[in-house]
Amino acid sequence: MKKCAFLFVALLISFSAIAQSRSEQKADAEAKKIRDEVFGSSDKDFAVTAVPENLKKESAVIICQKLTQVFDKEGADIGISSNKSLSTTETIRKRIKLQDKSAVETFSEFYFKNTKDIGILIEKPDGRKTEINLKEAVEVSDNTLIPSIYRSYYAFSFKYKKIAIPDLQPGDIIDYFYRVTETYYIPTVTQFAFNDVIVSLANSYPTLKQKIEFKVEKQFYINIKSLNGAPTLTPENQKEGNYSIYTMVLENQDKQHDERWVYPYRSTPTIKYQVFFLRSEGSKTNYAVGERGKPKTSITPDEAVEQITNIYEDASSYIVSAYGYTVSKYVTEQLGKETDPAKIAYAAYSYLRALISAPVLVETYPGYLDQPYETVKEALTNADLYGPNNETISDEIFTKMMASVFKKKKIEFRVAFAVPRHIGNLEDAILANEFMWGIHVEGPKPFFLFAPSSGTLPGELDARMQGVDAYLINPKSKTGKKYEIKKVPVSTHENNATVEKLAVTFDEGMELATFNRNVTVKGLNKDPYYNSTIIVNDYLDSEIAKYDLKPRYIYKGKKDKMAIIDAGVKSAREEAVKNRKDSQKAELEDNGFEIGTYDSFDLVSDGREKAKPEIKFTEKFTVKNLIKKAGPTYILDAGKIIGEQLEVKEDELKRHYDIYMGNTRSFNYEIAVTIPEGYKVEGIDKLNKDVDNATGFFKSTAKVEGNQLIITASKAYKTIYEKKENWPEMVKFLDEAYKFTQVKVVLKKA
Amino acid sequence: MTYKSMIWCFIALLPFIANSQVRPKATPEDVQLAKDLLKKYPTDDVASLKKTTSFTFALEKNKSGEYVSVRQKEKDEILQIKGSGYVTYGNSIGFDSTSSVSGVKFFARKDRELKTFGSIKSASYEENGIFHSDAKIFQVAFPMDGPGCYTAFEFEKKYNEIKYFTSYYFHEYYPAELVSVSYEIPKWLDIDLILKNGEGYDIKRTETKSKEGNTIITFNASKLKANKQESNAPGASYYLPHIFVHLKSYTDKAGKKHDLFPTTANLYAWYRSLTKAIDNDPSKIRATTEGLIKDKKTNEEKIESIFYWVQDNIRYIAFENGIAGFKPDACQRVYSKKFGDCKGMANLLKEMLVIAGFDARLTWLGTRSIAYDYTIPSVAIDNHMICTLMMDGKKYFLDTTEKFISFGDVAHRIQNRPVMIEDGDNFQLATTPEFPKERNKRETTIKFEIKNDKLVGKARESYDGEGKTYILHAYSMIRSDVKEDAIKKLINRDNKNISVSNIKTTDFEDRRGTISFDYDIAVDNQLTDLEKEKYITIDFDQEFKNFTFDSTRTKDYEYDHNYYSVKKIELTIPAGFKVTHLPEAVEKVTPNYSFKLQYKVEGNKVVYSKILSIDKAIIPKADFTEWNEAIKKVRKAYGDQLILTKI
Repeated sequence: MKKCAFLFVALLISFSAIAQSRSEQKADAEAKKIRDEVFGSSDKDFAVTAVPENLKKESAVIICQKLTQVFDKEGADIGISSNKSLSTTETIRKRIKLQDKSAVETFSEFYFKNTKDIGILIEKPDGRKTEINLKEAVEVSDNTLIPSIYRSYYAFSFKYKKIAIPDLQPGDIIDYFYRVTETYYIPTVTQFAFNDVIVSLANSYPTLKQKIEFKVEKQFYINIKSLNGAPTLTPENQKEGNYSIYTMVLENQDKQHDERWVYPYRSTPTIKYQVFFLRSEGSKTNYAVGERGKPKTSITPDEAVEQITNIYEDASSYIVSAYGYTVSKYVTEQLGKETDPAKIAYAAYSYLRALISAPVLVETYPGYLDQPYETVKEALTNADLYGPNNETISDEIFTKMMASVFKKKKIEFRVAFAVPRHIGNLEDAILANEFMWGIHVEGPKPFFLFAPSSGTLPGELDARMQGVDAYLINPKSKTGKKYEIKKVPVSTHENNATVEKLAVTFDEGMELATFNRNVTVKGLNKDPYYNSTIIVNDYLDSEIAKYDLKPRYIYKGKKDKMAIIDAGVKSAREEAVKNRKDSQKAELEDNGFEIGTYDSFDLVSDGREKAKPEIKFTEKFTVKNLIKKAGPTYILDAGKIIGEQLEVKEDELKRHYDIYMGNTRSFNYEIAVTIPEGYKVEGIDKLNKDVDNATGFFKSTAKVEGNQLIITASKAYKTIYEKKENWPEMVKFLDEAYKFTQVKVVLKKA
Repeated sequence: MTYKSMIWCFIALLPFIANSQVRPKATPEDVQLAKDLLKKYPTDDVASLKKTTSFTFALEKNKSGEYVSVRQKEKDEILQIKGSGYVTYGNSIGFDSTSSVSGVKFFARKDRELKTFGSIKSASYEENGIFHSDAKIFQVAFPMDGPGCYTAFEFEKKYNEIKYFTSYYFHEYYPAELVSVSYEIPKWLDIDLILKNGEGYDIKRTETKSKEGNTIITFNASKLKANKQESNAPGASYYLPHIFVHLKSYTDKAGKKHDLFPTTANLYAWYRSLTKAIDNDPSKIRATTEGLIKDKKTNEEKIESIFYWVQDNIRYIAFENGIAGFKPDACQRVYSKKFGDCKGMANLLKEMLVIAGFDARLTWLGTRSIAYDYTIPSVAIDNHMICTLMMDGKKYFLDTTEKFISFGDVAHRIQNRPVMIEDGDNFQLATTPEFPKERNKRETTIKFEIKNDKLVGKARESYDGEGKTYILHAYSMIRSDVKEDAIKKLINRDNKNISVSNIKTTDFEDRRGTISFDYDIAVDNQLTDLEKEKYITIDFDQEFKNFTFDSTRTKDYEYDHNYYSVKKIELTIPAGFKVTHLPEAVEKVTPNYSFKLQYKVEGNKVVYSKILSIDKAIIPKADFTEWNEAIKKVRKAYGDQLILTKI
């Protein structure tokens, strides 16, 4: 009997080995076919070898780049239960002339997804072509090192290989492609939306020609929008069998420039597209689709409103009904019959904000499975991974929950839909999921509400939403005006302000400066401080109790495990307190201070309550080298007391793109330096600065009052957007702030 | 994070929790032990109570015949000694295609095995600069849940090729009360065990016989402090105690003796067997070589054209897979691929030089990071290959992995290193030259005057040695479209206060001599102008200003190369002003480094001169206090100002 079993196993193994080698052979043959098809293409743009004279000094030039995206289906069309699969196949081909060693270095270690559907061809200046044998490729063990140029638009794969490209030299052309297919099995659905894509067409090298081709099966619908000089589809109605072909060509494209404060989707040629499948033409769909075989390049506000209304109504309500009830219950318990929308909004918002942090504990326990305390500790100390600032409630769930509360409380509201600023304008929306949802509360004092991050207050609107147009709709209303467009307000730099009060004294040896720093931060300026100054379970325990959010611990009933968790939480807190001091110290060092000792940190207010909306903290530390002996006098780096300011370098003065910043903001300093006894201060006039224009300002003053040198300084970014032509105006106040940091004053014996 | 995934996690985890094994709580004795150990090792989280390692040897057979294998069995008993909470213990064991790791087990006290405990994972080991290698690591991790928590872990490592069994280091990144390593050496095996860097440590060697008559040599090392990772530390073989294994010979079952590496000649013989097996086909590189030298008249010109061609055209891409780690790739393959590792590049250069009529040889060596010479032969001595050119009774050491190095120059990392040069069936030993710090001279001369509160003038900077090759190489690799900006940023130190213009450079293709930059310079914000005085900082580089050593550092500090910077800045005193204060001079000269800063008034000029040198590229730990004191003085001088007062 045993023998038989052995034989059977052996047979199975050998059979599968043969099968594998056969399928391997088939895949090889298929891959060769694809290579022949792509490299054998008659596209003349992929035969070009010359680069125009004006691009000879570039590191590399992309002669031609082509993305071919095929949307296809398999299976019969009969009935909704028929087998059906949909697929999308992406082929990207790039032909790049390498003009210097840097480019050769970039491409000499070539990364690709672990697929056989790839080809690399090297073309020498004399026309010789060599196809690279990919059998010598090796697996990449650290994916983080893969340069972005090798990543796909559409699909993402975790397994990559790399190959050292032989005999690659400046002057060579590298011509390569890869193909990736994704398949979706949809036996029963009647409508399907492929992933939406937003892509900037800008490359890091100049591109002579960039082509994008969509090959779309007749049952599909395509929505596509070209922005910022991206080409439109031409021709619109080319057919090939069951497919419609749409192409776009972008010529003589500049390379992408690396600049600060850029939203690539707003400043570089960008396309957005999405393909939809409807099993039968004209069937009901949530999506704003056009006609079969005809790309839809814009959607009217009516269509947009209809689409988002459909999606809104269809959105999952399980979580909403589960928590919506609890939220309303809490609001009623707190406010009774209160009707003030702002108060109700605040109560519900705070509840949901606490909810965002609470599940962190529950969910992250399982991380290491048998090491719960490690994960708890990590959850509480590693703010980057699990901290509150990275947790956001989904805008859909937030909106629906708030809607349910307002409905119960009979507060008038409309649902707001807007496209985030970094994506684009409302009128350019074309994708199903481009909108972020929120609430617009009606009444004499109308206001917007968007999903919180776990430190924000209701009035602190998500920066991505500020200044954008929003559709306000009433989903349930079948009568009256369908929608209204309203701009989301932009907060001012006074709303988003940081105020630092600094008292500086010197030790007897005049070597160390002691700083008492008192910081108040409000509005969106609080954002970076959520992680660095606030320890999650300082507020979490009380809020979990307040909102009755006690997590249903997975170890419930296992006392030894709970003890481990509790001890983990305790130890994590101790560590967090220590880490906070270390990170504050590091932050000051990054800001140009040579820290002697970091003595104390005290959080005065965490800014989570409406009554105390600011984060406030005080700290004490000593700074080395701020004051230096120069002969009989001392030189004080007075300007450096405000910390380092942005240095606009020479190569940044030329601006290629418009300026998009997250939010307006201001930073204010009130400094009192105690002048050591027996000394007087000279040279303070250079600390007086005043540059103020429409984009922002830097202003500072200095005076001596008694034994104190009193310095004030304020820097404000007044706007969130500026045309590139206004960059010099911004540079004026940025430079003035930098110059301030360079000012030294002299302490002389009185 | 969606709520859906949260709920999913609840469900998915339940079975796993039920399975994980609970380790017994720390005993009061272990808690006390932890307290005692913490007093000894106050900065460590865990300590090893005892690490026991044993090596045994066996004669085995495979398709290619008999061979000697080595088995390492190791058990490390870990105790958490610090913290109110929890730590994760993690360690990794290296292996490659000639070795394997197995049998990882975890134990509680009383040797009670903990199953479904800890985590074990095998991963590729990515070494910086190596494109692909067979090096892997076995990662072991487990939780420790408080002081006094005891866990032991055990593993076995098998070396299938005794030639790669070269050394054993006692230290871990945590302290150890006792490390006991024993070698059970059978009669048929002849090896010597040499304790290196044992001075200052409590390491005892004992020798006994086993029942079978095998010799058992045991080294017991007591009370070892943690070996902490520190930046710029010298190679471990310089300072950590370790057992270096001299593999001499073994006798097979038939009674035949096989040499391993009893003498350096045997090591060479093995290397030679590998180089003999290179299927070089010089005909494939002949035309290129002849083309390179055809218009060259002198030998030196010919050598340079070939040497530089290989530097410029062959990229360093290393595959360290099995024997490819030792055997050079054939010249025609490296030539056609245009890439190779050091061995492939050295071999190509050698073959090209031979075609050109020169006497060129392959040469093995260990870079500075390796402490060994050829006294005791071992494959651990060498980690690099270059080509030695013999001409007019002189040896020239040519390393094509050093991009832009000139003929006659030798990179710091291979200076003063013992090398083994091929000589047919024989070999020669030699030592590469060592250059003084002047090789790396960086010289800066600036003539300033004051204009509109700025320091304005003309400057000249020159670089030689490592600084030169670094700049030339970096420049060659920078994108052509930003090359000009890059040079500007190099010269203006990427400092907004410094503007430079009219930059003139020497020919960057020429690797001989120094490279230099002449330019106009204007420096802002260096001058504080009061009514009657001007306070001026004329040195804006302030090198080493913050370069002090932490008192907790345990190892010498090694620079990439020695350093020599000479700077002279002149400032014309504006009419109507006189100098009322000059910063004090600093002069600190030691055998390892020196700092000399001086201000002088010469006529209507203030002349500032500064000489900084790191003479041997290393600052020994013994010098740290003195160094820190010297830096303090240097900082003071940097902070001080030149004061000009109205007459």
